Amino acid sequence: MNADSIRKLFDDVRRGKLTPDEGVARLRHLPFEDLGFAKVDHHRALRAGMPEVIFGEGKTPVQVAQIFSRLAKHGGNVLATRANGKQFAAVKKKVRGVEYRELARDLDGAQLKYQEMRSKQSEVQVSQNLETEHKGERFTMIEPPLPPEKPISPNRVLILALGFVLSLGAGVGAAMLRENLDVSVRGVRDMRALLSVPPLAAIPVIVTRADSRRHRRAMTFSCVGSVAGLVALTSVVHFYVRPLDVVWISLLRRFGI
Amino acid sequence: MSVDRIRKALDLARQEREGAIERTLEEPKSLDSKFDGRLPAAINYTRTKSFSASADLLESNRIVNVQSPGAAAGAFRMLRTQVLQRMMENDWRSLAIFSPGRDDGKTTTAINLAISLANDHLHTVLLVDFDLKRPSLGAKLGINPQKGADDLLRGEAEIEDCLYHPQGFDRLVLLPARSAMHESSEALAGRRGRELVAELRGRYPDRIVIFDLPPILEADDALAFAPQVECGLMVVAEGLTRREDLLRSMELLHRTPIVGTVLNRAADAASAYG
Repeated sequence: MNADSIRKLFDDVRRGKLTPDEGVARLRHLPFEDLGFAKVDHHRALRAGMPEVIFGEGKTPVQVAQIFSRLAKHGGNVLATRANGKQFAAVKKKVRGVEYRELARDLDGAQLKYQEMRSKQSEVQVSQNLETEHKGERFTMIEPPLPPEKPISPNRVLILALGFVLSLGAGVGAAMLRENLDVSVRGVRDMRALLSVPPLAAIPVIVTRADSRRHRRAMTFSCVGSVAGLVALTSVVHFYVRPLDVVWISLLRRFGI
Repeated sequence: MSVDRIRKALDLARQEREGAIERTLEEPKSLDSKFDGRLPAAINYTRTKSFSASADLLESNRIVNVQSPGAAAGAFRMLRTQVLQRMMENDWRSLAIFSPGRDDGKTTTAINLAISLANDHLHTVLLVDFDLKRPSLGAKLGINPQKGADDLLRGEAEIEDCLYHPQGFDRLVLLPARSAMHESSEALAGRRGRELVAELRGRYPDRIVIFDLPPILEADDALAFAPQVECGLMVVAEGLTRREDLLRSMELLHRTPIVGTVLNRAADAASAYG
């Protein structure tokens, strides 16, 4: 609630649109409304010239949404900081015309973190100086370990590269294994090695018309089969797992393209 | 080659018009050097039954047109020439087709080799189906013999009744088997077998006799029959014949001169000879 809306309230009472009791009821929420988990300051704008700001971090999306909708109901702009995507989604359901500035949020967060790091760094430097001068009498924990911002594992690029190399290796290995396990005669060179004389003649596979017909049929069948299988698989993914456009966009984002 | 053939055909036609109906084939004189100007016996098929093999059947049974420019035809000509050279050097007239296992393409190779040998104008060729475990020569060429090699070995037929000549394949005569035969190895190695081989081999001086036999490692027929032929050819199928089977077969046949080996179904046949 800001100065304008209070002036409008008085106006309404004076013109008789509202009874004085109703005016009092409206002002009952002055200065705070207690939601149980948070006290909502409705008159901060009036007192401080700036409306109440919701500090999103540490609150559940439902809580943020509730506070937000209360503030919004009483008029004026509402600002929530350090909000995450889930909280935004919850708020969006309750209140119209909400904007989510993720970049600004990230910038704020990063700046805050940067400041913290800077101050910690200077502290560390001080204590390092102390250390070198006094040969270290006591250690103080300057900073508890922080959870990293981005996941360190899994490293998807590494896994992809590793998978590629391993699959190549497996292919070569399988080929070599098959060649070693193959006990049949293979090629003119094999004959020469076995009998120390080459064969008189190497007769190529004689392909009959029936053979080539069979071959063509098999090729057609496998081509059609694999295309049909691919289409079936894609549609199963599209209709039952995740729509393809969503998959595509999330893929693009994952690899930072 | 083709000019000669055309000339030959024209000659034949003229002879027929003039009433000369004996079926003699004139050989080009230039080919002859080793045989003292003597031509192969004029083929007079009095009792030998002529039949025409259908082109489709031959094609589907992988019988190669050895005069065609294809890779397989070239390979068979290569094989024919080498086998012939080795046999002529030693004055050998009988050749057994061996292979370690079944489905190595033995009979097909035998037929194709016989056709290419007959095609070289100097020899007549007799191809005998002594694979009495699973005879297949007749079926491959579309012959349904009344009497066959098995009847001959039992003494129930005359050689003349068992011979077939495929039309269009001059100088080639076939002796198919009618059906599978029990105790075939005893029959082949026995007295009647020996006499039969001697007669088949000795009847015409320029005849090469090729014997198709059962796989070496599946029956003892090939081994029992081996002493009766002068040389053998080992057929190996790439990707099918096991190395140890090939070595074992060669060991078993160490008393029989092997003119060489043929690698069937070769994937690198084209690169083998450039």
